[in-house]
Amino acid sequence: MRVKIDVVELQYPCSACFIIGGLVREMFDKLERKMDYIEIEYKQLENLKNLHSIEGLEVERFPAIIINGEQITAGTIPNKREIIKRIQLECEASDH
Amino acid sequence: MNSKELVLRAFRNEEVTRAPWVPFVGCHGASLIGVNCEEYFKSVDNMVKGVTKAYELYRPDGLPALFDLQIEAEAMGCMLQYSQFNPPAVISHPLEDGKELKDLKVPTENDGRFPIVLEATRKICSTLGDKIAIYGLITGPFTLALHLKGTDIFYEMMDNPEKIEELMSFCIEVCKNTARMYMESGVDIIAVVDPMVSQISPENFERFVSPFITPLFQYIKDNGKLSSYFVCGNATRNIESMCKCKPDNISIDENVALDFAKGISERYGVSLGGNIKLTVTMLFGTPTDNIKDAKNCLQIGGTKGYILSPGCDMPFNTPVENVKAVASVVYGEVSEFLGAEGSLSDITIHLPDYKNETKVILDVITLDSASCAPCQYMVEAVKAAVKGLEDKVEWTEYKVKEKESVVRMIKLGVKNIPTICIDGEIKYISIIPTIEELRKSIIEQVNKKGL
Repeated sequence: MRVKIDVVELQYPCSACFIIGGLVREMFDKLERKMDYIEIEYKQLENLKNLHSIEGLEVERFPAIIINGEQITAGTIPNKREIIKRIQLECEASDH
Repeated sequence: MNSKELVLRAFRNEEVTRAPWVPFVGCHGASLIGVNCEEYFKSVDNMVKGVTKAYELYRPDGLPALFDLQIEAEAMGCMLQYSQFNPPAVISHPLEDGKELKDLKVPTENDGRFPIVLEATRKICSTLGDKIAIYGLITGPFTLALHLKGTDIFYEMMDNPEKIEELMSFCIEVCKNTARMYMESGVDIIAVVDPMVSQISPENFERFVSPFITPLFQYIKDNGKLSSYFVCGNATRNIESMCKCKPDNISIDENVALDFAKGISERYGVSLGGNIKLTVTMLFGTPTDNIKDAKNCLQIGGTKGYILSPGCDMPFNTPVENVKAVASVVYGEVSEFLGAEGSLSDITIHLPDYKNETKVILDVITLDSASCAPCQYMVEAVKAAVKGLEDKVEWTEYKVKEKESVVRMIKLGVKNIPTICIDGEIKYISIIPTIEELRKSIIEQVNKKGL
């Protein structure tokens, strides 16, 4: 039933990643209020050596969104409609 | 030709004696003077001190007065969240929260943090402006539009494009006015920093950005100043469109291949800058990594129309010695460096026969312990660890500024600095051992040799 979302960011991002990171947080803050079945964890990478510790992270561009262990975005502004659709699909799949 | 002239000539695509060096010190300036980012971005004195410190440490040919892409947004009603180690973040978007475009006004010298920022810029220009080129950074129109509108902008680009064109028209007025304020404060170059164009297609760029930003670059030119178009993120597909907007220069980060960008920018007579890797190299790399990256950029960039710079705003915690290592390359202090086989082929170094030497031999390979902090700590650790063992142990610092040391480094198989080798064996790479640990390793070797 629950959908686990990991948002992986660099602790010291460049200007683009920094702005995108803020927009991603805003989007998930809003979604979290509407979808009580999502669980969001923000992971800040202090060092790139720790990358392997993040399950599902395949493309090393940030911020990265991982939904139920599968990476959905890498360093781009997510399409809110697509993210919602993906979350709903994951939720349905776990219900069955 | 002084540093400033070097930058201006490179901007104009003229051949220069060496590529100018412009470290983008923004929030990193705060760490240089021991304050957090909020204290930095809200204080004239701190901003002036931070830039001055960067000038003293890094020997740049140019510097930004400030690197904060939220100033205009804040002055127009976006709420900001300040943090310790990063620039402030925009956390609200007036046009998403019920305001209309007609409710917004173009910020002036009296709005938001502009009084502080402009005073700092004037002071920086008056103290450093005759020596180095000072950049005034303004938020690019698309990034500003995103700050004002939020991510809905992407849907409206499809659903209601005329509205977005209207918004872009307004944002360009803000850009022009901000550019004017910086130019009147004395900057030499206006950098239009628009990282969010990395998020749109060339088609959208040509429709929503080009028609608006091209007159901005002309406006800067008409005022006798030079312009740069900064982007970060993967903007590969938009590089050509950016050049077509006719800035004097574009600046890119590591997400865009430098040789690719160089090929395009040359075709349009636009100079180029940037590309030193911010995270992998400058933040997390060693001085050696930085030297290699800088050498690589300089090799591709050449001495016509290239400015050596990081890809974007340098992170707060960028190690000072990494930036100094880049400066060493710029000033030719790192002897032609690693892999430059030709220049080193005439130098012969004989390594000691470590096994049969009557002392334990420590080779300490550094950039220079007088100027590189980790190198200094490593040398100090060695000095302390060998105390009382002088009759059994001999140590030498080899600075890679000298060609002989580079050859020695290659022969020992050392790839990073600083490094300690004990009797020819690489023992500590870029990690400063504790005095006890190092002494223990040395004594083990002394015992092994039966000294």
